[in-house]
Amino acid sequence: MRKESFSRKLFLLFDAIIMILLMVVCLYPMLYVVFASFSDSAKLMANTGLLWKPIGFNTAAYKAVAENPMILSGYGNTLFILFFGVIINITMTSLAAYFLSRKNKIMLKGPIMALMIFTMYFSGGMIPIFLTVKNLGLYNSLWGVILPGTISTYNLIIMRTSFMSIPANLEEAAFLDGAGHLTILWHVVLPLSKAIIAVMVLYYGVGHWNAWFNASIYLNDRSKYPLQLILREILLQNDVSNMAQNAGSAEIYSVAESIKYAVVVVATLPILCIYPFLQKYFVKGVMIGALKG
Amino acid sequence: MKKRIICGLLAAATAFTLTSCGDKKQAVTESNMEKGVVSYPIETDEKLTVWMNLPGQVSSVVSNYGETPFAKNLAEATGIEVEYIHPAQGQDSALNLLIASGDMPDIVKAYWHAENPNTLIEQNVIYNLNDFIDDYSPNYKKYLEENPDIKKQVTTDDGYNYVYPFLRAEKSLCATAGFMLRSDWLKEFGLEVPKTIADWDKVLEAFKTKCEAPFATNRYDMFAGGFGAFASEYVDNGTVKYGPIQPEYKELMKKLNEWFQKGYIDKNFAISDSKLMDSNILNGISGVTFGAGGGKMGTYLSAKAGESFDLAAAPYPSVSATEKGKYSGMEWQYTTLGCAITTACKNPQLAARYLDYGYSEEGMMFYNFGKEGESYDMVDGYPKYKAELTDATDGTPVSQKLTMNCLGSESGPFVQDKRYLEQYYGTDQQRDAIVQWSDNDFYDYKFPTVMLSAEEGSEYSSIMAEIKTYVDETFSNIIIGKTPVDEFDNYVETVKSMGIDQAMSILQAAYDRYQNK
Amino acid sequence: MKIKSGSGTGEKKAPYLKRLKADFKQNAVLYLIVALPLIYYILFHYVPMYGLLISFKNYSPAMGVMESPWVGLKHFMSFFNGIYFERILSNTFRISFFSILFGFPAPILLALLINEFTNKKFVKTVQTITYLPHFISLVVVCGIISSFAGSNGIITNLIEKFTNDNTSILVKPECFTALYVISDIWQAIGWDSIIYFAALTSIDPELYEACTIDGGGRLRQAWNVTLPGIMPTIIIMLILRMGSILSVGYEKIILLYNPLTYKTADVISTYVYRKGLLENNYSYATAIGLFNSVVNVIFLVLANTISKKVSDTSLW
Repeated sequence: MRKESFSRKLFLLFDAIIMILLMVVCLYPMLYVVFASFSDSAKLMANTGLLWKPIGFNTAAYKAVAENPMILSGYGNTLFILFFGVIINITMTSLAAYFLSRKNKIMLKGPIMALMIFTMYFSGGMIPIFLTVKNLGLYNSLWGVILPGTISTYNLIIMRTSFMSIPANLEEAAFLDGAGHLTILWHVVLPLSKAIIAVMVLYYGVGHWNAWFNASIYLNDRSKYPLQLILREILLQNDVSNMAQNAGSAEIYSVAESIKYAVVVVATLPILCIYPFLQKYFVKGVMIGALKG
Repeated sequence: MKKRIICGLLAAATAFTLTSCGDKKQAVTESNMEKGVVSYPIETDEKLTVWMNLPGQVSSVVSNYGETPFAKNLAEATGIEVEYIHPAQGQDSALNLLIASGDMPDIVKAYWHAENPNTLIEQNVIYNLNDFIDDYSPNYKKYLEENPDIKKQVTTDDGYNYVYPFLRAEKSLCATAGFMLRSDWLKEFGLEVPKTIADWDKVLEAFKTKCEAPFATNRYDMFAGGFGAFASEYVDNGTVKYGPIQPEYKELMKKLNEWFQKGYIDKNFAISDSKLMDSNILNGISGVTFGAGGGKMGTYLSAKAGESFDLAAAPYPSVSATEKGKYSGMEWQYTTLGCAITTACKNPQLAARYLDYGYSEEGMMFYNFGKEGESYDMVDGYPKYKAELTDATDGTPVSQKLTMNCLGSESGPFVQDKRYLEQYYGTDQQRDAIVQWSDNDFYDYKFPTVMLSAEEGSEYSSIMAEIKTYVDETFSNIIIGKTPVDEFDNYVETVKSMGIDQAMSILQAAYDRYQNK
Repeated sequence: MKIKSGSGTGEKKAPYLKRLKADFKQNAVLYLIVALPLIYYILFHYVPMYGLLISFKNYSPAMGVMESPWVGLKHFMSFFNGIYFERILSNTFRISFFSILFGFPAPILLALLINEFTNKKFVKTVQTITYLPHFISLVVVCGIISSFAGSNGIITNLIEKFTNDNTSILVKPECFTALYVISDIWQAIGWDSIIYFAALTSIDPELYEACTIDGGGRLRQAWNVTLPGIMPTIIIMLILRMGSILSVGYEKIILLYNPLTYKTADVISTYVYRKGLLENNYSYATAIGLFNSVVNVIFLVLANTISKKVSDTSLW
């Protein structure tokens, strides 16, 4: 036992070193982004080495972002899309995953699964989908941004795989007690799937948070724009390579470089704050085993 | 089953919109609007809808262009209320989506080169404006009569007018980018601004002693004129040719390879982005760059104001000192940006009146400089922007202030006035730059803006996308010496086998149609 | 439930429709449960599917999908006959192959390594930090890469110290695949490990105890308990990954390649981008997209079939 615990300690030491190196590699570019966002653009441009602190500290980039009157409405719209979007995503994905994870014979289960997987690879393309959304009366409405992404087949498959690994005897016991499918889904399957639901909330949530493309097509009223679309416009507006309209003035340029980074910070920070709350459900997922015993 | 039914419904819906468009078109012919010259503002209760990009310069302060002082003043001046509709910025397919949706506004402002307006007219999406221009746009009509070369550019092969274009009044407004170099270094060596390749050789040799690599650019193709070569398709005595496979182009590549070996060209030029070039030119690591008069030259000069750093624009190179260059980066006066009237417009006569305003004397001033007394004053017959508009010291960019009050620095259905740029460009070097960069004969060779049919367009882009990749690749590899210059003949053969002749014959046909308009 | 499925196979000879009817009756509630998701799929995926037709047409937005003229296989032919077909296909496969070879196991390894720690705070910190790169947009990531590996970047300077050559790795065609794969791993390793970590947490702790009682060491635990516990997840993810073998994203490559590295960096999606999307040639883009999908599906089905035979895990 002594000998093993020594090799174990050695292993953990190496493991910890690897993890710390990895963290440095992952953290530094993010710090670079933060430092750059507080830097002076001209000095930032001239700098070619590593950044260890903001150079020529200033907050002009954040000012430029904050001055945009649409930032607030953008946050509101994004929260609306995030809230209702995730509820719909999780409900619909669970329903479909429950159906597909049944182990008893359902004749159309295979075909339905195939039907869904098919859509991962073949799609009608932007214009036909746009026309469909329009014909459904969802054009220029936030629901038009939410509904077309109701289920991500990729997430559905992950959820189904997870549902399938729930021990069958638990469900059978409930079934014998006279519970219906909806009761089993609500009272047996979902409580046992907290970890995967947390993952799904994260996946879907981050998806909604970062999405801008659908909004750029389906919305035409700028007061409905989600945050990412507005931030993207700020980026575009400062896109230095976009000199087509013979831009003549020098001053826009002076924040261009740091604004890019400020936008990243503004767009990323809130979602980073949510993660720790979801993370505790991963840990709770361990409970599944305890329950079974 | 369901799918098929819905498909059917969609088809029916499309058919319905198409027929209803046709109905509208007939209805408008019985307009009772007054023809000929009228004075603005026009008395009407009708409103128009205009679909256009919200100018990026003002998107951080207004969410709709209608909120700007200029839009309000314009409505007052023309007497016509306008509702603006904006697609998301940077949404490249916005126009396609708009057309596909069938849900058209009255007026669409867009670039039309990717579409074929002739087809759009035949498909009843936008109006053929010929009659409207004759009857309701006397100012624009007069402008076209006075400028037959512009008329040729803005009509389709069948002679249809489809657009109220954004036009640049003169050549110098079309030359917004070019070479610039350190004039303080030139002075130091007693050299002149280079014109020919021999001049450039001397300048580069001298500059090399001052810095790491004289060039901070990757637009080496812009030297083509110095060898009588062209980096794109061009017209030589009525024949359309592809520049990069002509023998002159070999000379360009040979020279560039020589410059690379001498260390004039940065080893990593293929990845030098604008950020790096800026930093190189500002920090004296390089002495020559290529860029826009405003965004680049203006930025550099203001960043280095008060130091010995100075820049001068060099003309596009020519074969000999007595000749002008044949190749340059100049654009046409008409870049296919303009306003079309769609068949969804119930009162196209009114739209024609509205769009005609920018070609009247009064309207041109209004679009370029805004409202007199509010955004500019007439000083000795010269429209001078109010001082607060051209002053950025309060932190608000000039471009934003101007676009709130006029469209001179933006675009629209009017003729752009040179006097806007004279004030927009803050320094003499910049004002001299547009003279230098427009001092060439490229317009005699530049391939005109032609219309390709859908089939021609897809075949052409299909062939050229591959050829351009190959040409870029070979060009860069010859410069760094990975591919020897002697490979040029094989390279030409390869380009030919990729279908360059077919692509050029498509352009030739379009060119001939254009000439016969 | 076993009995039900048994009776299902017993009725093999009954006509299909009749069996279907019985099936509907028996599983009415389940079919009701899937009804809403199914309606979603039909409405938002299958109704617009007619748009695929434009790969056989010359699409014009004004005419619409149905009215645009047919051109048969023209777009496919011009793709297959292009002189770059072989090059972009092999580049696509090469980049994809190395992405799977190195990029796929990386997050699994990370999840396993993190799982070894018992200090929850440390675990949480490692996780939170490693998924950060996922949130940085590609434009910024590529900007950082270009500035680090560009002319005066620290990577180039470092290489210069050893080789005396200040040529950036960005202009060396032989370095492109590595650059692509490594930056991909860096960006995705933490985020992708989330799913494996979730799978790890749902392994029954009793199994570990049982293994320890049997005298198994840590390594044996990992081999006998941990790996089998997350195997279904790994296999499903691998099958899905195989199904995107031709889908090498264009955004990153467009931001990183240049004429000198076209030779190894030009892939199908960048080609489509240049040829189709820049000129709004939807028909061409759709045609190559369709080709892409067909190849991807073939790989998906292949991977799934092998997995079904070998490990009994299957998508359908």
